[in-house]
Amino acid sequence: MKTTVIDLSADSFNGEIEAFLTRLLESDLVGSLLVPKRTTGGDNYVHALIKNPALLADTDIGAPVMPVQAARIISNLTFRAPGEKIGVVVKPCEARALVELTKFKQIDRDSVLIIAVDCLGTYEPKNFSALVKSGKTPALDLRKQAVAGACSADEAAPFRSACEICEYPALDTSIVDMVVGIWGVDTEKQIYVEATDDLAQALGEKSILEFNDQENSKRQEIITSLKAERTKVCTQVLGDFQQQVNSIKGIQELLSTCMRCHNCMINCPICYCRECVFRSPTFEHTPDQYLGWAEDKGAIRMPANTVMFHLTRLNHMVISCIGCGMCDTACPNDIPVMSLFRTVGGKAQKMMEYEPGRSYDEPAPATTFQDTELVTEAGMTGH
Amino acid sequence: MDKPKKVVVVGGGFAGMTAALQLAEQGTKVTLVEKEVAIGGFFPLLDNTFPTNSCGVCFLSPKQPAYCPFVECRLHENLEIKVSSRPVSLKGEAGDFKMTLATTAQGVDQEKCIDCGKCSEVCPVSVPYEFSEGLEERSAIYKLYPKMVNAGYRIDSENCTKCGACVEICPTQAIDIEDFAVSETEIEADAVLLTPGFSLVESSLKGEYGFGRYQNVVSSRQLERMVSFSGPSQGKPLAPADGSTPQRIAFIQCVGSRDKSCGRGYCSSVCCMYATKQAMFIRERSPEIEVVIYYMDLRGMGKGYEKYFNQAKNEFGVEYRRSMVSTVKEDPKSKKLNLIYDSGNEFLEDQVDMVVLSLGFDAPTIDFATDIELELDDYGFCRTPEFTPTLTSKPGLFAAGAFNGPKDIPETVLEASAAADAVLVSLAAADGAVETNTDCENDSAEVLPTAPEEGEVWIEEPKIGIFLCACAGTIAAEIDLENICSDLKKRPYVACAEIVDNTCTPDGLLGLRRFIGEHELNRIIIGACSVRDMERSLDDFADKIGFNRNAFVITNLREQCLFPHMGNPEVVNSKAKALLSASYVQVFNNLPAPSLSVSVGDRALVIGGGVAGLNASLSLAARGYQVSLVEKADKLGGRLLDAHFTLEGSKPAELVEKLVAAVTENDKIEVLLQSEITAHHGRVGNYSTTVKSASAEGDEPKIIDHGVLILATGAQEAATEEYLFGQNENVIVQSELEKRLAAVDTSLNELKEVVMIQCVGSREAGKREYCSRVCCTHALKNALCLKELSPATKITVLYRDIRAYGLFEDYYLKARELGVLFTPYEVDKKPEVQANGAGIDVNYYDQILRKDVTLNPDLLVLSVGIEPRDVSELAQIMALPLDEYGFFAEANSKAALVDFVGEGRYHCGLASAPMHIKEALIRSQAAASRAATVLARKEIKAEKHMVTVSTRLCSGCGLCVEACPYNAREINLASMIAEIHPELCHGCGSCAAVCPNGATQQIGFDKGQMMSVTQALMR
Repeated sequence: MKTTVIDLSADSFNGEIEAFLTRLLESDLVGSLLVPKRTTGGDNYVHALIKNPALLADTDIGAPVMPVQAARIISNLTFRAPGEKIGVVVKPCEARALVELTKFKQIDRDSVLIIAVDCLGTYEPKNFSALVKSGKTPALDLRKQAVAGACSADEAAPFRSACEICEYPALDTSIVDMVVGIWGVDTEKQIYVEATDDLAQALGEKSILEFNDQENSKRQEIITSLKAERTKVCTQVLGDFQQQVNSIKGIQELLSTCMRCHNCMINCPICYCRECVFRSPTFEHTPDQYLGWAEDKGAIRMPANTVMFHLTRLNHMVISCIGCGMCDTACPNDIPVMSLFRTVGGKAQKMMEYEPGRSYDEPAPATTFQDTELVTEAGMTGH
Repeated sequence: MDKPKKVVVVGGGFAGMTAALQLAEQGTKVTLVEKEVAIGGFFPLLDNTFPTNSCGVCFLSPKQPAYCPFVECRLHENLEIKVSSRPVSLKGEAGDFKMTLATTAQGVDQEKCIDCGKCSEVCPVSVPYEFSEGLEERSAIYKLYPKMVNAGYRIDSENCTKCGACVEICPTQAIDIEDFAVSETEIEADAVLLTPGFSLVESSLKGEYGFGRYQNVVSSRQLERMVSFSGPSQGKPLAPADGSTPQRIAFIQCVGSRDKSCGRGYCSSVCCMYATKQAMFIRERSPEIEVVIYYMDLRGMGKGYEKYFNQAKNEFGVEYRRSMVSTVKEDPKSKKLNLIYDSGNEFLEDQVDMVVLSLGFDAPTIDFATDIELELDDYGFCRTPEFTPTLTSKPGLFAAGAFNGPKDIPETVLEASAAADAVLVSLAAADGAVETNTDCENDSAEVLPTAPEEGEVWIEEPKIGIFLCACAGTIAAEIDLENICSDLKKRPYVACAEIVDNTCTPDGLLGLRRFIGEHELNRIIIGACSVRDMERSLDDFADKIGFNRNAFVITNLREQCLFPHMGNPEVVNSKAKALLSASYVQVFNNLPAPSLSVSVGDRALVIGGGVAGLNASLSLAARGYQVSLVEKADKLGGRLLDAHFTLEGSKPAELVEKLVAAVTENDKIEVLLQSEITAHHGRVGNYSTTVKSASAEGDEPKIIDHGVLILATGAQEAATEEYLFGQNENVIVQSELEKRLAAVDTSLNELKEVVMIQCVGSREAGKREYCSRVCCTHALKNALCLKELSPATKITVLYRDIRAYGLFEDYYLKARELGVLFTPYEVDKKPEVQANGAGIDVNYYDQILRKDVTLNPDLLVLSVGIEPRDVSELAQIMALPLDEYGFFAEANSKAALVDFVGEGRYHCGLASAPMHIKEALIRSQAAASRAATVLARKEIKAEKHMVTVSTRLCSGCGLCVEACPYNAREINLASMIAEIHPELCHGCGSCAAVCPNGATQQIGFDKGQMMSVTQALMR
């Protein structure tokens, strides 16, 4: 890993990043860039796939909002090798989702150059818009706090619930190619960057960015203590949640307002199926089936299979759940889906000694066998 | 195309059924001749068999997994069964035999009889039933074997009063009480296989044991009925005198065996094991009964048998006493029995309530044996050469099973398979061409015609037929089938709901077929027993009548309903209804089974170039198949290269020379020396194995595509550090002595005293618990040879049990006559060996003298036994199981000894278990025969429960690829869809389980279908 500190002239953070991205896009290291860019209306940020360097204006790599999980977009771009490298600017939870999707062959890792930016917390998109419209500068406000190691949400709007308990506010270069560090960095004066040796060398050779091996030990300290603190909060929050939802009845109550709009599934970066089984013929029940169930039980809830839907989704992907909370953001009825997933996921992941997003080399548990699992009554053992 | 070859198999017991089916499966027209009114031989007598203590009738089939051979024999279109027939003469030569059969009418037309049993019910006669030696009674019109389906009714004309009641009541007019005519027919055959089996010796043979005089002396045949759940006392022994439960039962072994005084010097080989089995059943069901077995030598030579004895002793508390029983006397008042027995140094008495005589085997009689100068031994068993054990003295005439010497079921099945192989090899040689046509024309009226095309049942309006199996009364006893049927009939689309007596029988299936035709059924539910028992027969049945396999759904009313809730009719009945409701939904939603067929490669891969591998390769090549023979060493021959002579006097060197020359000259056999297996995958019919040869270094590894695999990797002489071996030059192993004897080492003449210790390292829990099988005969042959060379040498054999089983017993007797001393020792009191200056002291406790004895032999010879090679790496590459000792594991220890679970891969020779050369030859032929039945098929139907993939739904995530243990899934890089290789799919469903959105669905376990089924079950 190589590191560097770029000194800034007064408050030119975005400008310097834009200049770096321009040099990168003009080089042959990437053919395009996927960066959060201000929306036409001006009050929000969404990812834009940029070919023309001139259009890098109005991008903000650290915009504290995540209308779409970028891993989903990147999967669309690279589930088949696109023929060029795409530079992607992502948040830690997006990068961790990329790791999982790579295992499921929904990302071609060789086709992406991943730049992860420290995440200071994100607002719900509508709240972010409101803040901007009220004249605030949420991105800058948070960046200014980050140097001291603690960011508070604006008094007018809280962070997304997932961000409150996120133990991954920053990454290192083990799963990404480059990191832009903000925690513990005085971004009015400096930008801190880490990159893999290969990328650092390439960037240096092409005069895109020189690496001077300057480190930032303060950032490391802050991240360590942040993680510890968040873990504590997380345990507390999920513990409380589990207290509330500790029975079949509890689950039913929790999900009672679900209307199976499937928004949580659509927005989940891990739910990669081209077409969910719940939207396939398997769940196209006939009228007489519904009526038969109603007759058997006296009454059935409609739409049917809501609990089944969530349990199935838990069953299928909770082991890979990276806790980005897009399900919460997507739910029109404010069902705390993320809490459910992180509670169950935490236990399942621990059981399988698996941590989603940790490493590309860790196989997904569903694809692995232990010798004893294959013993049949005939005494046959597998590989 | 040539006319199909014709083979007559004489005798419809295990051997006959096994061989006949294997011959039929490979396109030979077979006539199976049985003297009784039904095939089956001794099997129907056996309730459960050792060493699994399970019924095992369904495991007897040469087809695996389980399916009943009785049924299969009746169903196979290449197989004709002639019952109540005796071959009276045989004329002609190999390739042109003419056999005359005398068929006796039994008063019942077997074609018309539907097995309803009404005739016996009305028959006024009651006479002792031969089946259980009078333990039960029967009528004059009766079934040969009770309980047995289609066992065939017959009239015993001697006891028939000709009252005509049976004729009147018979619903199918099958009875003619006057018809006992004998008719003669002549049949032609290219080859004849004799499998006439054996009979049990007369129970009264040994008068001193009082059978027939003392009521409480019973034969092992009678006891077998007593310990049978279908027997007169429902599985518990009762003293015949008063019907009470005996407190103490004694078994007397070797009744009519190992006894020159009654003209039977041979060992019957199976009695120790069956007595142990019966003793275990008694102790298990009535723990209050004491059981003691009086025996001379405990003989259980099979791989798992030692464990069985130990289990009987330690877990079931069966007592074994080594002694000879001289007489049995009855106390006339109490009917108790006093056994007088020789404990070795004194006569002792034991009072028991019941005595069981373990009856031995008698050789069968073949009417035309003398006419055709068939060579028989002094006892009447067929004499076959040691190295061609299924060939008789007459070309074209083959023999197998107990006719060749007493043997147990596993060996019988193996020998029958080997004989089928030998017959086919000889027919192929006679022809110069190879007959592998399995679809030969059908020139006799058979049970079922050839398969019609499958109909498009999936697009038709459902017409459901529901058939509930009464299971010979078992299911009907507790489940109200009539009530359930009338309920089911009310459901939409149900065309009929009927009760069938025994669905698993040919008649049951024929009944189904009638209903299918009558109601034009296109979907069928069968409420019967376990899918495992039923599926195979129904699949074949479906294929034969042109039904898609998945149009049948089996509901398990027995194991999953009746058995667990027996005695609780409410639960049983409501569960039966729920299970049938679920099947009703399932049969609607089933997807059709793929009608895909996969072609079978015509090459066999044989691993191991010892006697077993060589012999198997030659068999397969002779049948026209290509063979790749892979050997680790730099030359062929294996352990045989170190063998010099056998007990029976044959020269292994000549055998190995012959086999190696034949293999080397055969252009169908490719030999790869100094080669090892590095990778293996595929499934039956289509395997791919990577072989790396040290001889061709630098070369690319060779990839061999083959249809079947035979593992014959051998074993090795066990290593030992016991009894000063390796420390004292006068302590050697038997193979070393054999080498010196073969070299006529003159120093052997000067030996004054030789001691042999048996079971070194064998038969010991924690070491090698199995018996190495060959060491007793090894010691005998060396002792005999040494006595011949130097009669003055004193030879003492310290043994635990002399296992000179079968016809080897004669050699044991001969050794004793020549003055070889045999002295038993117990495993907890093993001999001790110390160096004493230049000599050796052997100390042991003499059980007869009851004191410690010291011998000072010039030479101490250890029988070290056989241990498996370390083949764990190979087993892992092949994903094949080893048993607890490290040999390859058989699919079933009774009837599938060369098989792994599933078809296509086989093992034989010492890689399977310890065995003699002759037995290795038999096993390798049996393995070749099993392998050839696969190759002969040319194509194999794809797995019924194969998976399908929806290209619309597949995300190409590859979870299925990783999860598949058989390499049957692969991502198509162009479409990014996970495709299926049907030839590799085993239908395990792992891929369907990991597929998150049901893009992969398993046929028969489709997600939607399973949800409906679950829903139906929860109603």
